[in-house]
Amino acid sequence: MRWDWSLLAPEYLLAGWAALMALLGLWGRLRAYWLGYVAAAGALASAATSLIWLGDRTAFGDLLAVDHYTTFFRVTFGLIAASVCLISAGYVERFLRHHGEYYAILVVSVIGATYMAAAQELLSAYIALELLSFSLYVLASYAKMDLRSNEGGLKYMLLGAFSSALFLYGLGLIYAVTKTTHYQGIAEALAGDLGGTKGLALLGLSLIVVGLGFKVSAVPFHMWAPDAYEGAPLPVTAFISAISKAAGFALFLKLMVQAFLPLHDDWSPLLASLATVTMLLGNLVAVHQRNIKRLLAYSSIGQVGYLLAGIAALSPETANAASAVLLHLAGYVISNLAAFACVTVYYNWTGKEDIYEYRGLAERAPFVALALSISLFSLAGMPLFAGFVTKFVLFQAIAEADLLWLAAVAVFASFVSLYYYLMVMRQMYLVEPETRERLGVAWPEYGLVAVLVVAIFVVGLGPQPLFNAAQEAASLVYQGAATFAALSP
Amino acid sequence: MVGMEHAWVLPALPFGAFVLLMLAGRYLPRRGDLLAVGAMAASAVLFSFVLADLTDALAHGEFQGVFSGTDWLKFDTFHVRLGFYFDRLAAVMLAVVTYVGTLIFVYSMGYMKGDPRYGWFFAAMSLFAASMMTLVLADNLLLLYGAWEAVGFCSYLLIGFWHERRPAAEAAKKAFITTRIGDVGFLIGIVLLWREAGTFNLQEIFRFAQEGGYSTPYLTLAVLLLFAGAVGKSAQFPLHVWLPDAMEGPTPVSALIHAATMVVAGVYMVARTMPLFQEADPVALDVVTSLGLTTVVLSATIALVVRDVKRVIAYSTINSLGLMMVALGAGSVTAAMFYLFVHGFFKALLFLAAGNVLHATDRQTVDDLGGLARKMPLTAVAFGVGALAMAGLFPFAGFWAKDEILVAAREYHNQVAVAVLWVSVALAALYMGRLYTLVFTGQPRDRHVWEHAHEGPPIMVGPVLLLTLGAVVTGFLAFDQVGEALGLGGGIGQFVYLEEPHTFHMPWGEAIGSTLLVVASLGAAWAIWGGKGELAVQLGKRLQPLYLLLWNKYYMDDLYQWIVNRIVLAGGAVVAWFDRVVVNDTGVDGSAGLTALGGWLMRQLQTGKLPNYALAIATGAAVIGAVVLVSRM
Amino acid sequence: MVAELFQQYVGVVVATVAGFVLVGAALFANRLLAPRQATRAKGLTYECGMLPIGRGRLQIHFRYYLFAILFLVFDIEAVFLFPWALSFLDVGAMAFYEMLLFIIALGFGLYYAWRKGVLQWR
Repeated sequence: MRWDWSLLAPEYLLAGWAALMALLGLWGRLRAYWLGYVAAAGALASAATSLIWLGDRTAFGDLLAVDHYTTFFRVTFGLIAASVCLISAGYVERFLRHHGEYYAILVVSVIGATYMAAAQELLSAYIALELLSFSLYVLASYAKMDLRSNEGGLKYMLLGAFSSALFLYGLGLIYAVTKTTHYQGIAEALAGDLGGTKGLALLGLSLIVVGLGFKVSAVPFHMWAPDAYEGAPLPVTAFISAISKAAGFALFLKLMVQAFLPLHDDWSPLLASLATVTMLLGNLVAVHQRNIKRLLAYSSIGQVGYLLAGIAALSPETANAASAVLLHLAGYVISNLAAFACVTVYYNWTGKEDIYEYRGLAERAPFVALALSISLFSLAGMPLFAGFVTKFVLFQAIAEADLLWLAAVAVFASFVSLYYYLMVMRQMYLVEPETRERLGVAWPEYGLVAVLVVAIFVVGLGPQPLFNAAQEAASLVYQGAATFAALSP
Repeated sequence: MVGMEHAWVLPALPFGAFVLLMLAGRYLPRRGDLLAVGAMAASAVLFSFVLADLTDALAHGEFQGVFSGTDWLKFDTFHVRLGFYFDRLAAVMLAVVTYVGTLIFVYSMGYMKGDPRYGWFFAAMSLFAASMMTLVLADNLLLLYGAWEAVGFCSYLLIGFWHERRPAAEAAKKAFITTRIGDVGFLIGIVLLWREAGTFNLQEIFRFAQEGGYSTPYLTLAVLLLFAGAVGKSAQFPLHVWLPDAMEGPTPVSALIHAATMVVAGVYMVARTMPLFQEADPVALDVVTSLGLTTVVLSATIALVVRDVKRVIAYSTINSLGLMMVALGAGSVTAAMFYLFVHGFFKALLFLAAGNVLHATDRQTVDDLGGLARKMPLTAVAFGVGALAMAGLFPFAGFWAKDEILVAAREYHNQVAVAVLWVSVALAALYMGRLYTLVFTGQPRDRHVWEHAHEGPPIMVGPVLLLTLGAVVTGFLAFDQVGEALGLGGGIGQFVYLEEPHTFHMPWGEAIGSTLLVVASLGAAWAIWGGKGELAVQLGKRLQPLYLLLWNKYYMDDLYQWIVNRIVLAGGAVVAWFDRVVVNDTGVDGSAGLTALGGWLMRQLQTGKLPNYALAIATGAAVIGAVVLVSRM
Repeated sequence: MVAELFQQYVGVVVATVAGFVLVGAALFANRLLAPRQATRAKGLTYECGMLPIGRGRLQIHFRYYLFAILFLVFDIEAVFLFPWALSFLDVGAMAFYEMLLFIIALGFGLYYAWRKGVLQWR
């Protein structure tokens, strides 16, 4: 067993950066606005550092793997955090207090997210999960004077604690059956003869699914999401929608492939039905939302449904579904961040977040309206945009896994989603604005939005590089599991 | 040297113009219209070079087509290559898109002058042009579908260009939803073809089909689903209802999108996939023929009573589209593409000339017009030429193309089709004669409007005159000698064909017969609607039931509305409430009502109370646990 | 093996159930046998025989909460420090540096709280 401490360098960097952000905030020499840029630089530096291990396949002890999968997510999380820091810069300065702390917590949460992806055993995964969750609880209620923020944050924390308990109980049951918390050990034990304890193992698995389902806001464990999304400060909503989903699925995917693949036949229908409910409910309820944050919350629940369907389509034979999940996750994160960046820019100008307040935005701020339309189109999965490719590959993988009906539901749900995205666009383009007065120009935010929009097109038109990255990451997860596939009955 | 491998630049130019206009349109002089027009003109010039390269290659022997493309996605079992395929079929279609498109763009500079969203108009038109060219050049079904949706979306945007006007917004929605019904079939058809062949590439799918890879019923189903897409896009019965309403858009949009290019995309797609139709059960082509014939009859008769100038032309477009489908049903790609080509010119001409009238008078129905030939002589001549071309009088372009279709139907031994086509010829001459008579001759019905009418600015008259020329000369491409003189290596029959090229023989029977029929019909039109039009009034009274039937468009709109109201929105008070609160307030169409209902019911679960949420989680966990455990036993 | 685990716990289950039953039975018997006469004085808070002054509800100042948190942090630190100190020589240099880092991190937290003005009673 090797304890190579240098493997964790990107996280040392993040931890150091968090301390730095706190100190900068404390000394107060730097304008709060620039803190966002400093924090973003840290997150980017951490993502860049992680590229050192590109192509390596090592592990920190037997706790954390440092391989393509981890690198994929280190980069993803780093970019998410950097984007959110940039989105935050203007917002946090104007609407929140204790700026340094905000960025410090944000940066720390990335560590939790990363270790969720990197963990090789359940306890490390759990601790990482809690690190991320606690950061998000605090961030969600960061607008101390805003009742909605307090309400959302409190609900998020209480229910989060509840689901964590369920997760832990599941973990305990799995340990009781397999006598180990290591993914590979679990898989070996589950592939063997379980005798009468298989029911217990399944119960444990179900509880873990419930816990993770809460973190990624799958129906029926999604109810915190709209409240927390609506209450949380806008950039935090963006952050929760991106990182808690991405990290949740990073853990979910790895766990399912490396630990629970031998029970595949048992959990696949379970996840397929969860996915169905999630897709349908998320997209149908979104139709009725009047607040853009709630709309995006439900739309992201719908997206979670697609991803869950992808996990249900995992198969012992090929890594296609796994790489499709990673691909769609990346596409979703990019599109969603772009949408939130636009919404935040608009909020900074006007302080409004109801959908009807977006009327005539095309005339008042054409760039923001166009960028928001592009990101919504991408979320809806229209051709040309990232969302189309990633959904296309995902649905194709689902259909190939003999879950044609699930793919059909997903396609139907996508058609529904187009409808409510068009509702927002209708307000922006087809309804007369209150005034024709042009809104200001926010160049730094525009820069970020432009980068994200370009990314949407790059992924939409030439997805091969991203796909290769996803495929390599996924295949590595599978290599560990492949040996057990043979053992499974 | 610019060659066929540069065909991908054609859509790239207007797309670049679109991006620039969207990003920096406000800062450009004249809102950047010159940029859009310039890009379109550059496409036209470039196309000429590409075409020259094609004719060179043709002169040097056997030529299939040129691919250029890249791998788009690739993993073990799944490989998508996206690219462009340039061949003679694409060349014919591109000629219409680039040449006619450029003229319409130039015309728009005059027509749209002073509109508050002038720049946006050119941006959307550029996006449309780029999507349309991509659609034509696509070498695979996936790209074709993407472009297909993109042109539909542009059409939606442009029909609703004046969305402040309620009818325009309604028409845009109707067009979008109606064509979407067809598109669902189209998409399923594509998926069916892909499932068996494992590729989206058209040529590979053709090869796969020719090697017998598909079972006949399967292939028949697939091509019929493809055809469903064409039915929506090309406004065939029973999905034709959106096209007349689409006339709410600006006239250049009607000319470019709803006459010359987008609506013929369905015809083009069927022509493109004709090898599949031939492999499928003959019933597939029979369906194409019969829907085409139905469309022809419906549209030609309705056009006789419509009073809105642009809508008459819209029905004539549906009529033409039906003719093209009949030609395809008879298996004659040549006749269909020839008609498509000349139709692009004379129909655009009709619309732009009508646009001149609208621009000069600000009136759109024949009740307010009349006697305009004296005020707008150039427009009157141009419109007359367009009308005669549509009617199919010798020697105008429509004559040659229509005769090709008559011959194709005769050679296909389809007596019903032949009979219906002859009726259609008579009707087309009748309603075009009627329209010309009512608008340009006789006494003005609204003196005030007539006095203020005047010829448009040169920028609008110029393109119209050029199109007039086109409506006369393009028909001569039927002659091999003309084609050879242009370097095409022969007439249209030698240029675009499915299996065997054929040389042009003057079909004397059809030519003389149709000429006599057209002259007689035009005479009848003059007699009925000329002068004070008393005969028309009498006929209307005598044949009142028929008149009402036609006036109400065979009650199809009402039927659809009834279906939407009764079936989609069925369910009593709840749904009625929905109709009021949701459907109207959010501008939802009826079909979304059911979706909204489901959403509303589910939203009731979201109470906002913490214990309820926790209970939901606990219940969920309990149910999952129970299901998993029970399923084990 | 898990089944054995359960068998070991059978006694506990029995004891638990018996406990509930016994307590329940005692309370029930009390209720049956004792006479009941509710008066206002009986409902008062019992404070060593004196009459209570003021309301029973007492507000604790919010500021205590911050001190409590800070105290708790160092309380937990002690939990880790004692075992480490006991086996200081055995666990090696690595553990020393780890613990150093731990203390520095907590020290940083205290510094931060201090500078933020948490320790001031305002």
